[in-house]
Amino acid sequence: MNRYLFYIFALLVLALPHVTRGTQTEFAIELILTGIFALSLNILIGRLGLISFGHGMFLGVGAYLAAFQLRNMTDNLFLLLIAAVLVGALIALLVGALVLRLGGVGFVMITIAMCQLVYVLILSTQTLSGGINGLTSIPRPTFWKDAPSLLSLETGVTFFYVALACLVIFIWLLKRLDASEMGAVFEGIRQNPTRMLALGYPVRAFQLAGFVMAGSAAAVAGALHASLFGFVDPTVFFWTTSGEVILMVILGGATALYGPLVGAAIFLSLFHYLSGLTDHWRLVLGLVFVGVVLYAPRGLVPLLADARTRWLERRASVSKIQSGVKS
Amino acid sequence: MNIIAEQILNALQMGVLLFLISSGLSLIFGLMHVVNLAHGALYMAGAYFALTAARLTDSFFLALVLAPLVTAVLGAILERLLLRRTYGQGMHPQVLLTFGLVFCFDELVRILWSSQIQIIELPPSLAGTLSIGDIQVPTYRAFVVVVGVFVVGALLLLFNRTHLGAQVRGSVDDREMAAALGIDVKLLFTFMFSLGAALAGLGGALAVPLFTAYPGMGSEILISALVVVVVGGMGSLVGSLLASLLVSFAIVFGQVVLAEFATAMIYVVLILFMLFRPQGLMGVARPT
Amino acid sequence: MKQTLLAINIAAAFFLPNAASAQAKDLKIAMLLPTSAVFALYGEAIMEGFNLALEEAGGQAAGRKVVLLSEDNKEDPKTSLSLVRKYVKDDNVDFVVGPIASHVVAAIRDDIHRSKTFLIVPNAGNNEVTGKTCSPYIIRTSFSNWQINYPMGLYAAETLGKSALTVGSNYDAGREMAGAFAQGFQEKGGKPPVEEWPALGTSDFAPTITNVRSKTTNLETLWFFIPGTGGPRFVNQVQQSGLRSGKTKVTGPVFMADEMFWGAMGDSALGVLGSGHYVASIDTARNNAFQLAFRKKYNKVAHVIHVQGYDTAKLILASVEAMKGNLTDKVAVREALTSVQIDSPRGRVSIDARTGNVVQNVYITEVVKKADGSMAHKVLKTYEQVRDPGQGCAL
Repeated sequence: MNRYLFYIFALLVLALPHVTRGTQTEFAIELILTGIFALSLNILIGRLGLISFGHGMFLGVGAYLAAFQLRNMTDNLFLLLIAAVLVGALIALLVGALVLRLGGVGFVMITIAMCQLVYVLILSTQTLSGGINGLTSIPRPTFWKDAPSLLSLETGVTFFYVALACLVIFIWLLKRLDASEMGAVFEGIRQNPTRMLALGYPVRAFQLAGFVMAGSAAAVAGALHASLFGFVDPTVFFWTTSGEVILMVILGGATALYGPLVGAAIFLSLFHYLSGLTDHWRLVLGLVFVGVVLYAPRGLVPLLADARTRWLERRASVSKIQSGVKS
Repeated sequence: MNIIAEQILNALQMGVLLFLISSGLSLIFGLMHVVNLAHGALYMAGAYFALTAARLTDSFFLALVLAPLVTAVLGAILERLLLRRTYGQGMHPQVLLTFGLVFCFDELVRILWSSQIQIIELPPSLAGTLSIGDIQVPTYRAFVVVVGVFVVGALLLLFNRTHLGAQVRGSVDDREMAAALGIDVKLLFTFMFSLGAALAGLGGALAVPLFTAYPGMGSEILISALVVVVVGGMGSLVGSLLASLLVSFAIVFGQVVLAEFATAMIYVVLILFMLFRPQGLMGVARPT
Repeated sequence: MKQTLLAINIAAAFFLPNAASAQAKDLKIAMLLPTSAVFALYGEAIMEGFNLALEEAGGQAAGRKVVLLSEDNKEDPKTSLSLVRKYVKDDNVDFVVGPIASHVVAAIRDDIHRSKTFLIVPNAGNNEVTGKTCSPYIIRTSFSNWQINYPMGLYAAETLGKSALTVGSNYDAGREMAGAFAQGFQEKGGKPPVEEWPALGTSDFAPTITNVRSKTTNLETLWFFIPGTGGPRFVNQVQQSGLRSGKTKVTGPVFMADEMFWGAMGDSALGVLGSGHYVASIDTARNNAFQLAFRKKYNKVAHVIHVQGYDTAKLILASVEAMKGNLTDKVAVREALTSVQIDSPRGRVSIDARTGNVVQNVYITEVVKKADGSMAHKVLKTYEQVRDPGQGCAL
């Protein structure tokens, strides 16, 4: 039963860009990219128990990298993705080495501070970084020079599939991580870092590895984001961007694999469509968050999963009773 | 020479103002360990309550008394109805809840008071300047410093010399034990949160003549308040005061030397502290 | 049965509108404005002015009914870009009106230019909008940063004194405005102004004010520009610091101390000099009539942002009338936009044929208190028909 549902869902997703019109396709792509961003943060929050309030930094790194690379160097898609992964990983390595010394509150604070510092620096360096206006006229990347127009990323359809491919690959990698020994160590660190240390695990090294993975994935999301909209601006480094993605993770549920994805989809959809319905959409959005906290404190995906489990159990017990009566 | 003295005075009064703005968070986040991202929203609420109070009573001083009181009531309501449900569940629900409240408050202020930037006119007694030696100091800034000193004194007295203060500190350190000793922890927490809200509201009310009141003013001070609480050391009021002074000196120094980067100074201070003294100025070093 | 259906069909053909009939297509105008967050005030003001003009014209031009599409763009570049794409690709609008901020214009500029959709900018003042990044499809009805600050430099050097100090927020608009002031100032023999550049987002100007005090003792002109809420804050803090007790005149672009911010400044605003393209106190028959009509509809005084919205609507409607409702020839539409006369409350106004920027009077004003206790502006001098040179525009 599940398999069929999954195939139908997959088919719907694949067909999506062919039925949506221009801007809706772009919105769908934005959903996917934000999903990747939220999933990458959950390597830190859900798996390692590290609440990074500066994850926007890596999104921004990828975005500005794309701006420089696509405008000045090469518009090749593969080179862009590789560069994003490498640069994201490098910066995550450097930053991680610095910030992972701290736990709990200190970690949260220093991640906010680093992100804000980058924001202020960009604002003050007008000429190189575009300052408060950001950088515009970023061209779409291409598969290879003179690629057939079917493969052109100018059209929403192709871009959608590229983004979708990245998402699927990332989810597959996450699944492998969760099933691996490293994943188990992560879980152990999340529950009790001191115990893991006592058991002889190099906790700091594992945390750094997680940090690097999260950073490079976020950079890829950022690079594609910049390509989609054709411009970057420094608000990506402002603490509210990092705050919003944390909200998405919590909204969907940090304990579920797809939680952040669901959270991102709901958050973005509310943000996008509410403003068309009412001028007071902020109030509605705030009330939604409050409501989720009160009724789904672990996030929406666990809530749905629990509801489903209870429903299945009830069905099982009902059929047990029925078969009991029969016999 | 005068200029340096004047800048030092600037930093001092900025520091006290920053402390007043952050004191509520120092209580709620530093002492109670509640992640209150809505601190800025409470600050904003205090500012707007003061605005309305000043209009109704035609007295700035009365507004300064009423605004924190009303904000305290608001804080108590929020704590009892919403925040209480998130205790003991980790950071996530509190982050989501308080963030949600920020969105709600911002829009409610816009609906109830309009998006216009508004101000309270200072009474003539506070509107002039004082001469300290050769230096002209705005009277109002001096007034803020006086209020700040008074608040620090009152809070220290409350927490270190009274029975209530001991109960609070005990409840925060070990909730179960305190309850076992017969302390009404729930009521205490509500009281604490209201006090924190009142302080945030007082900060907001005091800020209006200087910074004006407008929707979104809360988000501006939230990060600064967080930095002050952490750099000062979680749970230490004196630490918050010292940290506010330190940060303000850094900002003033930045303004004088590298004007473009002045706003970055607060983050530089935080990063340096997190790297070299993560427990803050007055906090207790915890083994990692 | 068949005959009844046929009869109904024939009857319907007579009474129901027919696509092939001579009825004109709706005139679709997309409003790219914020209704939330920081810039909501500006977005609301543009809409109010715009709607008044629409009402006066009966909601139509050349027989085409005006249909407004509007959605909160949150003054966010990404949201604005998505909206623009939607308006252009999905809704096929005839005009886009907006945005408020220059950095949003930067984000949507390429899409506007490529899609050959006319963008009428009712506020954003960065010089490059009708300069370096000008486009045949971009028209601006508000002002350029250079345009309204250059005359203040001229005036200050001629009338106030040869020494000045500029306090500008350290970002592109701040630099453009201060630069224009300095240019005008020095052209009339003033000394190069001393400069202070507080960082964007500064809330407490005490250190800046101390710096100002330290750099000049006999300051004649203190010019400043801090965007948004920073403006009133700065004026208040300057007032509280006693800096104005001497003969120092505080000056700046007029929206630093105009009707929109008086509520935030109280008496601190008195005596502040401004340079700008509109104040409510302009004493002409046209403006008085406009203020009356505005007060009747909205029960408040109209300020410069309202007029910008009002004139934008008037420009669009007049151009559509001139084209007799046919907007297919883009070159002709551009010509119409740059040649129609609009009767603006601010005085004589036209659109520069090359750059697309508005050509208008700039008024030097002073904030005064009227006999009845309310605030008003006194016009000290008028610089006629100031034209922005459109530096860098390749058209």
